[in-house]
Amino acid sequence: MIEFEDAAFRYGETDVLSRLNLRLTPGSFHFLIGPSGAGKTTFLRLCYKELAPTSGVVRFRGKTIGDQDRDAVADLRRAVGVVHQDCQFLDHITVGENIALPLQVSGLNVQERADDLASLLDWVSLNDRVDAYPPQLSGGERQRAAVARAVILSPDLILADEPTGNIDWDMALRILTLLVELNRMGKSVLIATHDLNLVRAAKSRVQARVLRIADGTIQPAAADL
Amino acid sequence: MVRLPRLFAGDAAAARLVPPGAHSGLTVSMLSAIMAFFAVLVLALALAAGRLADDWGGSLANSGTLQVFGVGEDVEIQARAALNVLRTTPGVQSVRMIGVEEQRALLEPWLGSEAAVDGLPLPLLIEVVTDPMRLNVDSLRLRLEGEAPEAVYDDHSGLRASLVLTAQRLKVFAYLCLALIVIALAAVLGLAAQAAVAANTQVIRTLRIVGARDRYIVNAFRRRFVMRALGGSALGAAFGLGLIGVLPQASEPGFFLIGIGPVGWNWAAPILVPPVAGIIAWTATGWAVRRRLVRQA
Repeated sequence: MIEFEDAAFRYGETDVLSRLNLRLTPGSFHFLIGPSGAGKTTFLRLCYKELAPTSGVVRFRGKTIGDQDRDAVADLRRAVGVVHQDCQFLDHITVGENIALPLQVSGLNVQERADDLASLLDWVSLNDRVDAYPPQLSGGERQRAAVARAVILSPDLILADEPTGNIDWDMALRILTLLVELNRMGKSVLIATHDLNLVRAAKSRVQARVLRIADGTIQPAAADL
Repeated sequence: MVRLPRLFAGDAAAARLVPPGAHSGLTVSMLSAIMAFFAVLVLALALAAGRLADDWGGSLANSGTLQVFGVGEDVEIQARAALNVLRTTPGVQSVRMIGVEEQRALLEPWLGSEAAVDGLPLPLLIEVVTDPMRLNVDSLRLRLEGEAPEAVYDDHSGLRASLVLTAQRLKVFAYLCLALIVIALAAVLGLAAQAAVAANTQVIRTLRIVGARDRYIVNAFRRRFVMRALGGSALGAAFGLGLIGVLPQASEPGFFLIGIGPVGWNWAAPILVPPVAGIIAWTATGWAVRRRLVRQA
């Protein structure tokens, strides 16, 4: 699915990430854990080429994404659903329009997919919030809407950056459940989090591989998490 | 290349992705209106100057005036001789004596209606209509020197040359002003677009993250700016046309040679101003947004 080969990212004189060698296989479920500022978000941004590695190679579906032009990068991002911690909504359009945004920018007819959109809203329990504006949503509603937007194009890979960072535990479990359901549908899922309780809670629901990011590198985490 | 119908219809939803920004929107519309207003006035001036140059060069070129000086019977003898010369000169199409009343009317704007014109030593005037292509003025003057030495032929070339030169320079000046207005409008719209893009960096980031191509984002901004520029410039052009409508028209009596209002198809020319403003907005916005996008992942 996605593969890092000796990839590194340097910001100025600082090595943020180095010697990244890992592969996320189709249908896998990964946690990326580490303290704040360890480089989790940077790693995710390398996955969808919001950042480019300063050395090494990142491949998606076997293609080196560093060589791709801007249109190809746009296509890559349609195949990778991203759930941001701050959700990245457009506050002046409705929740429904925000969720349908990937459809719209892909040139797909949103009206023709109204049923799909309704099913998705039902899945994330936001049917009654479709006409609300993002600032009117609670933290949990925002995260669920972000999940819905990330999966509306049915991407193969879903990246979630601290998806439970600003919400209570019950809501965090609900978000986790949604992501586990997506994995059961065959999607690869990578969750970056510093919340080890979330990782432990997932153990009983899904077979997840845990990666730890520390000192700029990513290694498999110990089994006793 | 984006199709124009898509700009006006299909991408309305895309344009909504750009926050309205009421203040900058009003600025773009207002500046477009002001620029279009000036553009229409300057365009009318350029067209009128061009027409005046043609008129002054054309209408006056096929006419001349014969002045016969002298007193008493001598004037009649000289005039008769001069008329004989004119009637036998190739290129002279018609001649007409200008009577005393007509001379009085010609002098009235300068001397007033109460002036004692009768006491002035006025020459006898003969209007001559010519075919400039066939008339040899030098030959005519030589014949007049021999047969009517008191008659002087004026083909208006001295007056005409300076009038035509003035009109032509006025036309160049007007087109120069028009070009400056176009450049100023492009600069203003480019800056406004850059400001809007800078204020919406987060919107652009979100659109890129969800898979929008650069062209889609450019068009979203373009549509908004083009519509504002079109609306503003249409209003400005309408005001400009209204103002031109109250200027002296060439078709009005007495304004044939000096009326600066549009004539015929010239009325349609200002209609082109809003579409041109739209094209400028299209180009300037595209340039500004693309410039920002290449700096953004």
